[in-house]
Amino acid sequence: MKLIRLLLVLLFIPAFIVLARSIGSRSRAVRTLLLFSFPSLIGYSVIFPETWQSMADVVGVDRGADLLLYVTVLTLITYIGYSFSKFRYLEKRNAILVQEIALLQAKEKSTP
Amino acid sequence: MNHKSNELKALSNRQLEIAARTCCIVPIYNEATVIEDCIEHLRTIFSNILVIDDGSTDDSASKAKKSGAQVIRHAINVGQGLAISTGFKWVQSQNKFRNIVTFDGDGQHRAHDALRLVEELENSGLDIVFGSRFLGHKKSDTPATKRLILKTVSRATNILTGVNLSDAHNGLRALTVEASNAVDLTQAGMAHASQIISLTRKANLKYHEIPVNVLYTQYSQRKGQSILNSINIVTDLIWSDE
Repeated sequence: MKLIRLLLVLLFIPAFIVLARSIGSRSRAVRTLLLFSFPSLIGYSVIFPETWQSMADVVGVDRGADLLLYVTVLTLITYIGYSFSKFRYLEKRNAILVQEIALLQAKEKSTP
Repeated sequence: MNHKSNELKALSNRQLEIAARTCCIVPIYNEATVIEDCIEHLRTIFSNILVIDDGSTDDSASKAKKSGAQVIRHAINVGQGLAISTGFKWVQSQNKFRNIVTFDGDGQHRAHDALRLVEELENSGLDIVFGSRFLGHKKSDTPATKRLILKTVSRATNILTGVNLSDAHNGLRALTVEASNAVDLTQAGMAHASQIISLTRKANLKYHEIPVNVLYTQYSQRKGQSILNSINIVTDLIWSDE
């Protein structure tokens, strides 16, 4: 089996799912690191185009461009997943706030 | 008033006592067309009616209040699950009720069914009693597509939670105030119905299911959950971080 398949199944996809679902400060730092390292990698590959091909050869992907595509798609999906998680988290906090206000108002009204 | 007197005459003293220690929670969102009839119908049996207005933009809240219900209002619309949770929390803080009934505000449910649920709850010493439109001798009036979706959701919920219910998403249910402490809802939307079942299982609550009637009017069908919404329910359950 090609190394890329093993890496994808055992390492990258689970790691990206965890990163996408987690909204803690550690995972946020990792995401920021990834977000900034990704354009740096792209810039580096413009200056040294053979870099992606060399990495592709190591992990068993035919072309460097394919590897770049895989990484781009995974990064994009991770950020969509993260945005979804963050949205749900904020929605939940919002709901708790709405409930607290409603109960406080009800308590105020029932207090003689 | 005469209507209420007639209904009350038909109730035994025991039924009146049960109804008096029960609080009916009615979550609503833009139900101005039917809420007065719904509350008046409930008041033929129950005197404690708590309407949770989930950020309605029409005059549902004032109509509910005028009909004799107590109203708690969410500032914005957040979902039926949170409305029920708000109701539970308020009832728990009152220390004067023994039972809770959840009752849809669109006129689909019958007050006598609600009473039967609470009677079953008290007589059998149960923690929670679910209403089911698919039990009993009478053939359910549920439209075919809706029936298929509801049955599928029930099967999926039964497999995921390990309970055995025929109608997972029926809004008519009765539970003790004590049991409501274990049913701490975090699903704000319609997935709360599956979450109630899941929490029932987790907390080892004693439950039972009895047949109830669900009236399908043009209004309730228009207002009811769309088939597409079942996708949202499944997504909410899968993506839940509970």
